[in-house]
Amino acid sequence: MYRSQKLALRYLTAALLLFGVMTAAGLLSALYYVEPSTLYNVLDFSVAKTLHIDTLVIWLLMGFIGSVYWFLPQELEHEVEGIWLAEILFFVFFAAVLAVAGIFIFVQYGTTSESSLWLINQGRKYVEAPRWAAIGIVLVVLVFVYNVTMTAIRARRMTGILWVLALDLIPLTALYLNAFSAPTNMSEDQYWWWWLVHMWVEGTWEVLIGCIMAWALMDIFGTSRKIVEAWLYIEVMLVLGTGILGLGHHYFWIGTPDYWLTIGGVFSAMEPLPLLGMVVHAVYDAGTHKMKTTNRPAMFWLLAEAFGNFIGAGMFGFMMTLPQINLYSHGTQWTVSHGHFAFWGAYACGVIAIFYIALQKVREAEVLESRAWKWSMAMLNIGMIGMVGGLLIAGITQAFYERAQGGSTLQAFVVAAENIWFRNAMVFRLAFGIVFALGYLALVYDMLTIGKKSTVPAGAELKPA
Amino acid sequence: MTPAEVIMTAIGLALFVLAGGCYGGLYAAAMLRSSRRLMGTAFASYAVQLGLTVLVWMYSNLAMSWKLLILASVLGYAFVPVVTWRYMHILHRTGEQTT
Repeated sequence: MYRSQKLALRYLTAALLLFGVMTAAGLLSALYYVEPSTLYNVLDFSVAKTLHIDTLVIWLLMGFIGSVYWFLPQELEHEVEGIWLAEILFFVFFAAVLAVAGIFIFVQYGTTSESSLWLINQGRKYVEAPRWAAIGIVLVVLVFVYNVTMTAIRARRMTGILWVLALDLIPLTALYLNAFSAPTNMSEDQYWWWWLVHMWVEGTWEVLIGCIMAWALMDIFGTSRKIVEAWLYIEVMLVLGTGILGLGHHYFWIGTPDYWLTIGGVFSAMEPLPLLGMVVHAVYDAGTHKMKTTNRPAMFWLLAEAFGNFIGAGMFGFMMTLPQINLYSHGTQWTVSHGHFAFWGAYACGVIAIFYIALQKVREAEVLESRAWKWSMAMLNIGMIGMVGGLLIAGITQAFYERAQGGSTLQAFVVAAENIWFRNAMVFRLAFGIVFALGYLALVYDMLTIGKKSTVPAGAELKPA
Repeated sequence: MTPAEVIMTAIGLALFVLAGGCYGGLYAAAMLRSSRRLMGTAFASYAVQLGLTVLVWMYSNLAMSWKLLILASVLGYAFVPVVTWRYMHILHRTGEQTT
């Protein structure tokens, strides 16, 4: 095993831990809606929500970085250049994440000043981390870029997947620099902030996960490089073609010119089409291999990624993206339901698949199989579907009573929040959040045990799914 | 739009995409298994999507430009699975020949 792959295991382990923190903070956030006095004056809702959202970003980022460190030396048959630097920065990164979490939990009080931006909180959703920590993130990403490019140069080899990855790392780094700006004009702030949030999530991250999935397909199905690379180019072209200007759907109602309503509506409406292509691709790949693989957990999580992405991002996004609907749904729990499902389908399922791919090699399991992965997959997905169902009902209630009927007044907000549909939907969300958390525990149990003792004799015939 | 129209239109649009997804997934499965029954189900899903397009067109208060966009995208849904499948098939055939 390469040193880089050992580092990848640390990143993937950290990602799994932070996935747990995200789940716990999410459960707590859900509880506030049902019992608003929970931890009153001890831990505010805003802190739990910040922890939930920021750990989501960080665990996925760590999962992506870990996945690249895992596949890169395999791809180039060369140890990653400057790996010692990456190893040091992993500990710096992880320590910074813990420090920031501590600051969020214990130091969120007092007035805002230039020093609070640097030391406590930048105050912008998703990028709340104080500036010292944001500088650390930039440093980690720069070293990551150095590792990837220098390894390719030293190995004197460049593959199609690596070209796509290397080009993607430029906007990935550059866009994050927007985290440091602090404009006082709200519209201006939102305008550029969406460049970071949207272009990361529906641009650079899509490309990054596309590269990782290409490697994953080669790994678990043995699909030829020519096939995955040709498909990767097409997918990247389609996703970026619709995704970049799909940015417009975030520009509704924030003080931008009216033409963004048209641009956002048109390109967002086109976004499900490449995702439909991915569904066909997933069925084709799984079908031509007759669902036979030595790593069924990874295969099923890859399939979950294709379907989850289509339903979470495509279906849940399209139902609320046209401006005439979005006028009422924007910023309600409806958006939250779309956000949960889209992140789950587009990214989380893919990173979990990589956990299993790495584990198969680490445990030297000829066939990776267990009962726990089926339980964890079922509970995580049922929990997620239940949660987004609850949030959807709550959001539709808000759009109906608060926005369309009540005209978005404070009184209408209160009426919607007290509506029986809204309240029951939030209880529903909490209940399925608990199912999701149990699924997470089953996943951790499976990660600790799967492949340790051979449940399938070596050389046994592969089982069709 | 009235409050009820907002909700009904949004649900119609969600089902529109879901029906398109069912068509794509079932079309691919039908081609894999050479199954007429699956292909029939796939086309039935697409027919549902067409039906939803008609319902949204007739009963929602969306602006004409958005209705036209939905009409254009329902044509996109018809071709994406077919084109993707053919491309994947050609790609795999040439990929297997070269390896």
